Amino acid sequence: MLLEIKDLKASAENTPILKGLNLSVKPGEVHAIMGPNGSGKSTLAKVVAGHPAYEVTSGSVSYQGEDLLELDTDERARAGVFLAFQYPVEIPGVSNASFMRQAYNARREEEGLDELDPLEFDDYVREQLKIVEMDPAFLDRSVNVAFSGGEKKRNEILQMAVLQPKLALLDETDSGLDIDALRVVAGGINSLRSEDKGIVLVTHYQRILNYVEPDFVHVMTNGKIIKSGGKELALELEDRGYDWILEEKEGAA
Amino acid sequence: MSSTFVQQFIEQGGARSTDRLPTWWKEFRSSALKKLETLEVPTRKDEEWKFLKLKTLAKTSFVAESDAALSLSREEIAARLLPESSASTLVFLNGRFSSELSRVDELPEDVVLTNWQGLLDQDPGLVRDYVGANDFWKDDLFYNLNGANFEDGAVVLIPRNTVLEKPLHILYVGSGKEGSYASHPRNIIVAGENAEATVVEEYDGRDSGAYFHNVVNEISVGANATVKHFKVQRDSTDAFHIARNLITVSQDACYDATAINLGASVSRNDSYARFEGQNIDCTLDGLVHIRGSQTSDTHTALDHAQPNSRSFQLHKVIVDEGAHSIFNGKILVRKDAQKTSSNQLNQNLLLSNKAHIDTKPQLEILADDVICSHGATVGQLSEDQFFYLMSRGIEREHARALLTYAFAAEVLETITVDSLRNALEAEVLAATVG
Ligand SMILES: Nc1ncnc2c1ncn2[C@@H]1O[C@H](COP(=O)(O)OP(=O)(O)O)[C@@H](O)[C@H]1O
Ligand SMILES: [Mg+2]
Repeated sequence: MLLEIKDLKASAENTPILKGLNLSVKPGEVHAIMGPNGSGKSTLAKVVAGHPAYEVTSGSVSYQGEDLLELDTDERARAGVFLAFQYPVEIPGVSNASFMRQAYNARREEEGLDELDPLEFDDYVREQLKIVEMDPAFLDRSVNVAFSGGEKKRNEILQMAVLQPKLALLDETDSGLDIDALRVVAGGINSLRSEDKGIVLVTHYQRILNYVEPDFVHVMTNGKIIKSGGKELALELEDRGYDWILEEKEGAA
Repeated sequence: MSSTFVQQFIEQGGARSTDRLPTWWKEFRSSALKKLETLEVPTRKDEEWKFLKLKTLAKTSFVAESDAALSLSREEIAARLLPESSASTLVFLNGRFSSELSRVDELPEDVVLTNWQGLLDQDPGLVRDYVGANDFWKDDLFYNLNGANFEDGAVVLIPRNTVLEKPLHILYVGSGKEGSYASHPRNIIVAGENAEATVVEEYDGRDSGAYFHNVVNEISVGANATVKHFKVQRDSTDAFHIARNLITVSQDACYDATAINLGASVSRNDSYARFEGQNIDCTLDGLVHIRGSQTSDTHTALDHAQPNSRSFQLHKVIVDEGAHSIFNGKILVRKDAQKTSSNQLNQNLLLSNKAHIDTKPQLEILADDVICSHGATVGQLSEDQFFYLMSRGIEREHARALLTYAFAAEVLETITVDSLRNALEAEVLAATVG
């Protein structure tokens, strides 16, 4: 198992947000997590990535058989966990290229590989730029500063392409993109897809699933996954909204 | 009767030889000595000294620089020499000029790059008009301590229409290990009409032990001339550093300064720029990066007396551990200085909750048709930025260094001497890694 989350409960500022969540991701799988605003999707992604604002109060998260919650944020990243942020952070004064090079070298060092110098990295990153159809000028600019919403999302996918994570959590990377940008971003996600990698796609809209075909679709409300199914579930959600699932749930209870 | 602190400098000043001095210099010294009899160490009641504690300085007794002679080889200072200035460097060791370590070669005709004692062999009259010409600090204790005691320093005279391609480097190396000395460097920089020059003024401390650099700079930028002035203060953390920068700028001229303050236990770096003409550009940027129990205080005044000039100031401060930084920046726009444009920003980064900031940007505007803005911010490194960097595999300590460096970068980038800028960038990065 690549990622195994069992009965996960987490809170922020003493308010419970995740309320007993289960999710298993095998290598090679793509999981979509859908759900209304405020249901805890971003919290789930951030807890897996190790955001300090959230306290795990019970349950477990294991990654490749090891306790992920024991690792610091940076250790998780170097072990191959990647979070594409719903709201990427601006870092004035740090160039995009040097930021990605340092991240990439941290990962390489962990794997016992030699660091790349700026010139070597430049060759490497320019190849990845093509995947997201970004202008090389973005390499010299400060990280995410004065990027449009769509450029920030592409930049997240660029970082993912550079770092080649084993587990990618994409938090609404498709929101706010026009159709061309959506195709590019989806292409970036598909190029990561492989037998040994897992992808968790948090999304609000069924649209991206036309481009990135999921193996599983989960519905999350109020801190829990309340229904799981195949990709047809996403289409049903698109048609019928979320309420029928909640009703189904209550009927069963 | 003044305090023992002041008294020691009255005695030292009175004992200095006047044998080789021209009359005007003797008179300048004796009037400063007389003035000192009426001056006291400022206390916190004095508005200009409200936040800077001078107690340890006032309790320390200092010997004259001749009683703490320092000798260093070229190898020992090699790391501080700038390759760009290989033929234009003046070196002072514990305040005394070192002709062995200095290099002055191949300068354009009529350029003077020498020290005061060297000037006495040539024509001391060359600087007479510039000494004391800008008397903004005439009642200031430290200005007068310098006036009563200065014996050496750099003299830089660039004739009209002369462009210096290579930066001039004035390097003061200080060490308290030969004794706690006080030195009063006085640097004169004069750029004639249409002249251009870049000057690096640097104070570099080594070893432990107190010493005191009490600097006065008198800078005159002629019509349509351009002077870039980079000051780097990394005196030892036992040392005291006080500097008064007097800047007089003529019409159509440009003076751009960046002051980097990293060292000293207590430092004060004050600048006063007087605009004596129209269409002047003047920039006073600064970076203070201190830690431990260091205190650093910067007071600046940009004095717009005539119309149509511009001034700009970006002063960034990083305080770590128990350090304390003070900034007071005044923009003065006098009644006739219409169409003045002035922009001032002070940004402070607190890296520890024991660190302390006092900041006071001040506008004093008497003209009505001007564009002036000023502001100050105090902040910490953002947890969101930490999380973003760490989520990409960058360790917390490294993220801290990167973010701190990013904060400082905007000021460091103003330094146009490549080797100096690169060295400072590396230093700021290294200083933030815990
Ligand atoms: N750091 C936080 N502090 C306090 N409340 C939070 C924090 N993060 C999220 N929440 C709350 O938890 C709930 C779920 O938020 P979130 O995970 O962002 O939902 P989603 O991504 O599904 O829209 C919301 O009610 C939100 O206000
Ligand atoms: Mg969200």
